[in-house]
Amino acid sequence: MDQRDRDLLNEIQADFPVGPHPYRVLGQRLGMNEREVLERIAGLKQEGVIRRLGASINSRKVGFVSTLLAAQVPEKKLDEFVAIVNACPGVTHNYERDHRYNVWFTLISPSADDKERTIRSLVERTGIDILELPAKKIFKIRVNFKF
Amino acid sequence: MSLRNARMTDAELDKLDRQILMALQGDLDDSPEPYARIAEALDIPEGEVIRRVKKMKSEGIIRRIGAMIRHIEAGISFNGMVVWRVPPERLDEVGNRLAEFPEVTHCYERIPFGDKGGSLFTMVHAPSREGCMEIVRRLSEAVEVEDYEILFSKRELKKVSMTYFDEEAADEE
Repeated sequence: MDQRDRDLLNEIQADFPVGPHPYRVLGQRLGMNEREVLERIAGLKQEGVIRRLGASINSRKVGFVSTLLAAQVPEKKLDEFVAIVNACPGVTHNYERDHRYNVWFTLISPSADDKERTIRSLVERTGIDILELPAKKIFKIRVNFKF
Repeated sequence: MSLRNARMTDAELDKLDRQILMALQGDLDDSPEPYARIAEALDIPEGEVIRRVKKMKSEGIIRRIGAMIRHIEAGISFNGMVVWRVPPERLDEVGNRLAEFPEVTHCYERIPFGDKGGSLFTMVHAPSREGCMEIVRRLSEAVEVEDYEILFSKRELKKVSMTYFDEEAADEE
C-alpha cells in the first residue's frame, strides 16, 4: 500500500460518488485518472484490504432488527459454539474478546420474533446462555479509518 | 438518533428500490459505470437508478456507499470495546462527546453490562493493544469519566455484510 492507495482509501470509504462516472470523479478529487483509480481499487481488493465496494444499508430502516449478543464460553466448547453461531446468516460480526464474556457477536434479523427464535435456538443447540445487549440509543455508527 | 425515531421514519420501499439495494448490498464489479450496469440489468434508465440511490441516501436507508475495509489486512488489527459507566444525567452529553472523536467508530447506549454496570459502549480501533489503550486514555480525560473497562479483541471470528434482499424479498410488492 503506497501513499496514493492510502489517499484513495480515505476518499472511498465514505463518499463513493453517485453519478454516471464515479471513478472519474474520484480521480478528479485525487489527481488520478479513471483507469488508475479502477486499477488501484482492484489491487486493494485482491490484497484483501477492501472487502467489498457497495452500500451500507441501515438495517432498521429496511425493517430489520439488530442486536448485540455475548456469551461466556468455556475454552473446550469454543470451536463448537463459534461454528454454530457463525452458521447463522444474520450473524455478521463475531469477535473473541479478552473477558469473562469471551464471545461477542451481532445478529441482524427480519423481525423481533425471528430474532427471539434465533437466540432461543442458539441457546438450545449450544447449551450456553446468551446475554442480549440491544442498543437503547445510537450516538454513532461510522466506520471510517484514517490511512 | 434514537431507535424510536428510526422506527417512526421507516421508509416505504418499492420493488425497484429493493432490486437496486440488492445490487448494492454486494460488491460492485469492475465496470467504470456501475450504475449503468445496474440499470441495464433492471431494464430502466441509468438516471432512474441514480435518482433512487440519491433519494435512499438522503433518507438514510443507504447509510453510505463506499469501500468496506478489512481492518486486519489494512494493519488496524486491534479493536477495543469500551464500556463506560456514566451517571445517567451525563449519558447524553458523554455519548455525544465520545461520538465526535474520529477514533470512535461506534457509540451506543445499551443495557448495563458487567461488574461495573456500564451502559455506554464505544468501539475504538488501532494497530496495537497499546494504541487502543492510548486512545481510551485520551477519551477518558476528555469526558472526565474514569470508570470504564476495555474488552480487547483477541480474534476476529466472522465479518460479513448482511444480505438483506434476495430474489424473493425483492419481488414482494
